[in-house]
Amino acid sequence: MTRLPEIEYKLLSALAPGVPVGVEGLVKESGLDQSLVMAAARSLSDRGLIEIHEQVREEYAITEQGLKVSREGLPEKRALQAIIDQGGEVAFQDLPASLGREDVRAEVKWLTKKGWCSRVAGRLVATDKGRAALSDAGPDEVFVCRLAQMGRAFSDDLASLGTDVEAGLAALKGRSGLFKRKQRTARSISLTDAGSRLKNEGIEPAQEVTQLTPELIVSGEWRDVAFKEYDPRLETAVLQPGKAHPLQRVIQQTRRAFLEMGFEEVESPTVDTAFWVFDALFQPQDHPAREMQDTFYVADPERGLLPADELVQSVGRTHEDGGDTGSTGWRYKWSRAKAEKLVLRTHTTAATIRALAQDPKPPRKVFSIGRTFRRENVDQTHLPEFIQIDGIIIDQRADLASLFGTLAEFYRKMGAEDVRFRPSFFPYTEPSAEVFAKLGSLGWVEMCGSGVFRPEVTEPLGCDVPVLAWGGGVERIAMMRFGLDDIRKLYLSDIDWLKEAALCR
Amino acid sequence: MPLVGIPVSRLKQLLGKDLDRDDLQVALENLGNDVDGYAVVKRFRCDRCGEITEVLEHEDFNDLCAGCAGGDLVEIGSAEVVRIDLLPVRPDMLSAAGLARALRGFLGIETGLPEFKLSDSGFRVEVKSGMDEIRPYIVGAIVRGLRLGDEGLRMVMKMQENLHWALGRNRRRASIGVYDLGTIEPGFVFRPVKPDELKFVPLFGLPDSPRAELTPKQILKKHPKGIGYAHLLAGMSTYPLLTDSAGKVLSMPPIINSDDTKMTPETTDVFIDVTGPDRNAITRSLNVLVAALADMGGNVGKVEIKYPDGTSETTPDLTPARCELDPAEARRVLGLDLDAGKIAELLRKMRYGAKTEGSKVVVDIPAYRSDILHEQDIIEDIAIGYGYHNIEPRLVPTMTVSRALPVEEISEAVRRVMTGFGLFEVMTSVLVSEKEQFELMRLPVTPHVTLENPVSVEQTMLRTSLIPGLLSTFRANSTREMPQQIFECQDVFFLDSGAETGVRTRRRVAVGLTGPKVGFADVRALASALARELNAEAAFTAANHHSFITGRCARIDTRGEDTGILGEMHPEVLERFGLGQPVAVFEFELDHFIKAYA
Repeated sequence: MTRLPEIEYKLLSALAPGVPVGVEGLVKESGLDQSLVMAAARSLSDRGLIEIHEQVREEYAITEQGLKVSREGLPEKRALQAIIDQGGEVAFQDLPASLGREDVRAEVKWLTKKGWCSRVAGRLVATDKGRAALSDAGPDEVFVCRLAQMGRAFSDDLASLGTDVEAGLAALKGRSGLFKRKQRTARSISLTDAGSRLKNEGIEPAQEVTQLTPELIVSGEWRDVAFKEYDPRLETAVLQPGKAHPLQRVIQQTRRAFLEMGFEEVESPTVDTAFWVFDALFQPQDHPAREMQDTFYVADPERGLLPADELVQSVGRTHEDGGDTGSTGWRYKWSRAKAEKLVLRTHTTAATIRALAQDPKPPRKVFSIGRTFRRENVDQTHLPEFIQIDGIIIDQRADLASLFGTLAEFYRKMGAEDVRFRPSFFPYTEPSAEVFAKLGSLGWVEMCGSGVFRPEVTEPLGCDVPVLAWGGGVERIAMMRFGLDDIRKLYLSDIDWLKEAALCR
Repeated sequence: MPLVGIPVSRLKQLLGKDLDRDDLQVALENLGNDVDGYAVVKRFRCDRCGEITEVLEHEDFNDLCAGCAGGDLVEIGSAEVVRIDLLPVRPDMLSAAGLARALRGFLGIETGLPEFKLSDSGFRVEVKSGMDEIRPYIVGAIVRGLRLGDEGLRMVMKMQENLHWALGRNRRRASIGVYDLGTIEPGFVFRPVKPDELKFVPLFGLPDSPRAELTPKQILKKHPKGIGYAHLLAGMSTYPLLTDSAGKVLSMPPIINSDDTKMTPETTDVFIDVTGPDRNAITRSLNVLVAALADMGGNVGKVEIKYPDGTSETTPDLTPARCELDPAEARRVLGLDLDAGKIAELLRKMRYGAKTEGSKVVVDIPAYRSDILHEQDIIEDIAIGYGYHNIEPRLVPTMTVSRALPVEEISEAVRRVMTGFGLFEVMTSVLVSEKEQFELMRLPVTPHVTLENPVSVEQTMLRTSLIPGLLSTFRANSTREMPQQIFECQDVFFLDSGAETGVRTRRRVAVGLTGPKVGFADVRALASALARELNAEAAFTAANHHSFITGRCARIDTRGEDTGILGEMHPEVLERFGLGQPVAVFEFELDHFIKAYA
């Protein structure tokens, strides 16, 4: 008679020779903790009494988007229906109106790929295959609809219900977001010959202590019991600490880099006058960036207050004919009313330029990080709002070489292996440079724009020493660091992503 | 920024040197170009209007001609191009010819000021009275001896388009016309035309009728380009018209050319005009264009412009502008130890004329450079000539002391408290809608900052509360594991007529919990803890608020000031947000803590 730890005893008892039993089922029946059952199984397997079989299975889970498709059909199917409803052909330029949406590229791609429509002289024409497809569900649709009914399912379960999984997945290639795929490992155990022999010779459960209790300690009884041995390889519960948002973490890293380098932090109003956002930066009033097309103007309130007249006039004169700066200026009539208009700031240079105007005396190093706005349509890489960083150095001995040196140090603090510079153009700096950082496997990545403020910017604000300036977005750094491919995920967060995004990356 | 594809073989031919792909890319980048990479384009010609279109090899495209919107495209060949992101600052580098000119200097093949030989064409443009109000200025040039072919024609069209974008402010400040000289009788007239005065065939006619004759008024209503640019002539009772001596229409600037005077691949001699309200912009545009055509082998002839007040001028004028540069200033800005001789050499490399005179450098700026406003612009070119990659980086030697903003320090403390309790921070949009902020929250609309030109109905105002953003986040995560606990620490905005910009910004933290068992006590406990960590006590008094369940809502006071609101969200709010689990929240204003910290 062999004495076995209680769970090992239960496992061996439950097994018959040559018949594998699923661990999941055993856990359910016994009511025992999965980790304890697996520990016992491994212990038995280590002694050659049982064998553990692992089978990796593909599991699919439907998403919100997938559910939508299962209800409404694939977008190209709906497009096909619309085209057939309109006589079976539609001119390309009429497609957006016919399909009721602006961007029809995806539909057109699938319609032609599936051979449901063909392109004939500028028109999209439904084919016979397309007409037949209307009443017939393709393997992709069958797959999505079946998965929608089940919520989540294993590949082999789907197959056993008559779904052609392989064809479904092949047809869905190139489309994302309809379902999620996960690999799950199913385990089963079976009795070996040795195990079978041991069982035949007779086994019985031994009493073991799992939890050391206060009673055992106080009574001294602990001396007489055997402690169950744990298997450290087994999984335990997954814990997640509360965390700051990944984008916020990049912002904080940036702040730290600036603060460590002796910079003073400043802020400026999110809603600001065009004066501080554009005019003070020598951006002419007919510059395309100032147009309604690119910049958000504020309807209520409409106008803000400008600083002291002397300052405003000197900025205006510089636009018109260069004022006292030695520049030709932009040669147009500058308007105070346009400068009073309120906008959502398009960059945080509005904050650093305000700081410069407030106190232009060198030496100063100033930075600002804040939300900025550009009139972009929302898509995978664009949002109308984003976070921008901006730094300036006001210093008698500042020059292009020290701009490069400062930026190289700054981006090394941000994790770059190397930094390089390329000539570029920005309206308010001259010379200007684009800054690239080498980031591990990503290679050279564009980080920010930089330069020496033009005299037309600094002199009207009462500053007669060189001012170095640079600014750039933070989102792209965060996306690269946390492996996001869609900028929208930053501002409408998936809580699972927030939990999983590791603090150190 | 538009991307332009420069044909590689044409560029090398103009360059007079064979560079491999990598060397060419590096040279272009070191000159300040943003190179997107190499690609193969397929060229198509419209079987109806002759317009040439280029499409990337693997790109999906509409097989209709974009020019006349009616013809079918016939493939006529392909070419390797280097794709460059256009910068509006150097329109002279927007073409193969201009790029080659700059590269020849940069690579040391030919340095110094490029010379252009201009002859007198004997042609004249007479400006009639009445143009002052509608399109006051015109400049022009004749170019003979061009051998364009398909590629050359396409290059000229592209250059025109790029200049409209870079210098012309989309034709408002300057618009360019190029005509086949063989189709017109020299002696040109620039005059006002009445909307119904005459008819001509606009370029490519109409989509369904390629030879349609239209009046100026009909063009603005019916022709695709007319419709697209009609706003430039809005409110005018006469329109600008350019004709030849026989009265044949060349164009109706800035809208459209005549179909009868258009260029073909066989065209050798052209007349060019640039019109607009901005003398500077039209002169620059013409200079850039004729310089490029001269580099492509054309002989440039000058044209006399006669204004009705008796004044006249001869264009183009490619005389360089001369200025003096102080080498000490260049050394100061760049931090490079360069003497006058070296500076002059670098400037010649950048195609300036430059020689030393005593301690100064005398600089001749090419007439096609429209971007030189100040000595500083020339200094930048010295740095580019020197090579940014050759500049040794260093730090500013001056010591400064850092200082953090109290609002950010307090916010960081709040984030530490909240993450310590296991909450996850979210960041949501500042731009929101009245619907989300008020209607879904069961609240009356209160004064708020609104946008004049929103992009979508979802983003029309600046948020006044962080709570709706938390609820939307819960909605997006409704299939995720419960319970969920999140917070946001950001700004909200209110109208304030006393503020400089009419807006008051407040930093707040909002906390949201959702799940089958969350409730009032959970958020009350968190709010108390937050107040304690901010070194204050929170007092809670019953409050009425439409977003919360009656009797489960409290006002939060700290240090005797109204600090925020707390409670269980009203089921109707949950329903409106599409939420199926109870939610408890609090929102807490940090401003008096920030003031105390500062």
